Amino acid sequence: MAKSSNARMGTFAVFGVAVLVNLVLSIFLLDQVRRTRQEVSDLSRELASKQDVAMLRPLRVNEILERRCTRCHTDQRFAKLTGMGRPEILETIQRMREHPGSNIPSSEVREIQAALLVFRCIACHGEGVLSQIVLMPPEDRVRFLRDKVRMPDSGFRTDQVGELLRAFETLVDRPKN
Amino acid sequence: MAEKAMIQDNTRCIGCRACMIACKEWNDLGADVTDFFASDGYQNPRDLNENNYTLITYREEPAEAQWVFGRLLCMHCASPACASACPTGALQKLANGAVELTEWRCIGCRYCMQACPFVIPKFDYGSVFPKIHKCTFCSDRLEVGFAPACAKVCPTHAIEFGDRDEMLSKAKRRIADAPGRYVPHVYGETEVGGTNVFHLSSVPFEKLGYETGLPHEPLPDLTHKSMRFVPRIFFSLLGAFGLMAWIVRRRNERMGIAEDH
Amino acid sequence: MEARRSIFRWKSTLVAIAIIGGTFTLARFAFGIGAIANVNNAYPWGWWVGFGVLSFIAFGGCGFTLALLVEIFGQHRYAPMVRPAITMGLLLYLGYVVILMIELGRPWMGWIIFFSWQPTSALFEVAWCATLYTTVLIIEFGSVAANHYRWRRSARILGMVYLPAVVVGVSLSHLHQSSLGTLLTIVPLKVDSRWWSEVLPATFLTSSYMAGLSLVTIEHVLATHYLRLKPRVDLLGGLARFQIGLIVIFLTLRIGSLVYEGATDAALRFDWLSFLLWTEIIVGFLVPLALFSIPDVRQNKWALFASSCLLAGGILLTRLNTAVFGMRVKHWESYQPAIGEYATTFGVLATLVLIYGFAVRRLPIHREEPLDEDPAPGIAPHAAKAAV
Repeated sequence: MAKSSNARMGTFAVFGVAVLVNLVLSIFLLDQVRRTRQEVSDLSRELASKQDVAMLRPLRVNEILERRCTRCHTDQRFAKLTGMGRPEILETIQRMREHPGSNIPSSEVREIQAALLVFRCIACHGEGVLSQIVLMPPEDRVRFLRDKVRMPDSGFRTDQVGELLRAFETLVDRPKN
Repeated sequence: MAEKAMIQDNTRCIGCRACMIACKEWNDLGADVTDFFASDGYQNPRDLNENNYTLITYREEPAEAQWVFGRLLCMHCASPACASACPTGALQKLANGAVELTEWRCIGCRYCMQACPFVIPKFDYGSVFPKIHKCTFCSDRLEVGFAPACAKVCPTHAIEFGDRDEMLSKAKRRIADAPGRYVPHVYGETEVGGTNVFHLSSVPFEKLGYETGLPHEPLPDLTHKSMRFVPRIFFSLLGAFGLMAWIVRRRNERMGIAEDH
Repeated sequence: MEARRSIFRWKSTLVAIAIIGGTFTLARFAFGIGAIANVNNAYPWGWWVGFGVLSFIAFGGCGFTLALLVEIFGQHRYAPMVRPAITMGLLLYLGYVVILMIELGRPWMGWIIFFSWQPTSALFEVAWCATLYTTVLIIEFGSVAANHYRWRRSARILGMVYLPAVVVGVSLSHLHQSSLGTLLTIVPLKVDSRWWSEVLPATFLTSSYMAGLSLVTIEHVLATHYLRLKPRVDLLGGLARFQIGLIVIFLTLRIGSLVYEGATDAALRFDWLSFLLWTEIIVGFLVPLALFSIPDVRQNKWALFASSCLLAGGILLTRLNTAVFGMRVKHWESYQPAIGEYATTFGVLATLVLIYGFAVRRLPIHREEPLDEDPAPGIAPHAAKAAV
């Protein structure tokens, strides 16, 4: 009699404790879930957008031009680039280099040429939008440039997509300073 | 007297420890047996104690491979947790800004040490007649128009002393004038409801070993939330329990239950 | 005979502990606190406050809990529990005063607290209320003694002030039992988030009721066992019902504050403090809750004894966790209680048990009927005397 009563007490106790511990754990778990959801919904404010990441690797077109060109030329001069492709720009740069005191090292010609070509895009799109090219895989870059070039009044010929791509890649993959 | 305050500009500190000596001299503090490398590098002694009410801390900032100094001393909070905790009123906030200890009133309960978020008050556990020790803000000097001893001797003006409003705006101006030189925070402006010692630093304060992440509300508010109801609760309980006891006793008398306790 | 020998063994052990404690106390007054304790500048309170003050007062709550139950809620059938409760309460409060005298750095200045006005200080309130309440306990105890020994004039005066004293005492107890929790609300940065909360006053008050009822249960089972009296299992079962409600309230506050203060992260972390937390909650509260809820347990005095011991352990652990183990100060110093701190507190505790053991045999504290069985010779006079 006493033995069975003890056994019953034991079973009840074990069962009861299990239920209670489960209850406490469930409450904690619910709280964890609630807090996690809260944190996730707060994330959008903290999470970096593609834009933010792209800005970490700016094209720095203006910076390049300021370093070597704007001592003599105003921004308006660059607007006259309209219609110039890679060969014309290269030719211009070579001409500038011949001026005494222009001080453009040959190592930077490639970069300046790319910056001037991309400057034509910046006239309409802004550096922020163009920076997104940083995040694109090669195929998407081509498609992106092709779409832009096809736009009416883009000022580019379709066969210049390759030039543009190389210009962007020069700027994007340029080692820092 | 207007409320006074101190600026501790750690960027100007050269670690000469003149403040520590001046403090000992004015407050008649004893010497310690110390160890050359008691703590990080040249910091000596390791911590505040009954013989040191202020201490220059030495930390090495690895990126710049140079010393950054900090100073331990009572922050003289605007609403001091220690004074709110002290059961005998031995600690008081004075009008001149100092949090002052009246030694003879101290019963050695050490609640002030427990309550202080900056771990400043010290106790001489080794003594048979111990008491609490902490920076006095040289309150006795202030009353005759002198600056605290540490502020007076500092050779690089790392410690400056004056009216609180003036010191606070000066500290802010200094950060605004040389943003590269300082981290943009006046330590003590809002910590635990504001203090009367403002620290400036060239590196983040946690690198100096300062307590960061302190609430901006005064800590005594936390206790006050429940303490202010005490008289009301007491008299309500007294009334309620008295009434219940009276009813119970009358019922018992009517039912003829003998008192049996 | 068996019981007697075991009592003798217990007694010698207690005397030894008390002597060791006394020696350490002498050393403390001769050489200072630092000589026997590890309390330091970063951890100024430690074991003395966690055990000697917070826990002694919690269990000393037995006096006011029973007074509340019997005199104010009119649950008169628990009247046989009142005398042991008041005696134990008085002893524990006196023990707390002794530990306070050891723990205070300048005990000779202690009186000044009664010539101060610091309503913002929780310690000020605790000191005042605890002292006043000790006075109340002395009045309550004196009233019992005066009635028993027929000191007519004292009995009449004490009889008149008895009920007002009970009412005042119960009110004071509610204040200082909760203020013990308030003591630690000012240090949110030093107490681990698993124990610090703004409802500490409420949890401390609830746990003091539980501590009181547990102690009364434990005492009743032991005293009736050793004095060979009939245990009032019906009353113990009734107390257990109250315990169920109290544990539920306590756990609701406790779990609620853990969630509210955002400490569930920490609670689910795998470390030493979480181990303590879960031991506290499961072994100290959930297991007793489950046990008390079983009707068979409520009719079995040893089962009640065991459950009450677990609950008492849980309360002790939650107080120690809050004030000792969960106290983490960002500082170069660390803290572990020293032998001297254990020795002094356990010395006081042993002395209290000895005094109570003496009192329970000499004073009319227990008035239950003796057991019917034929008592062993040699014990009978004792038991009979105590039973009068």
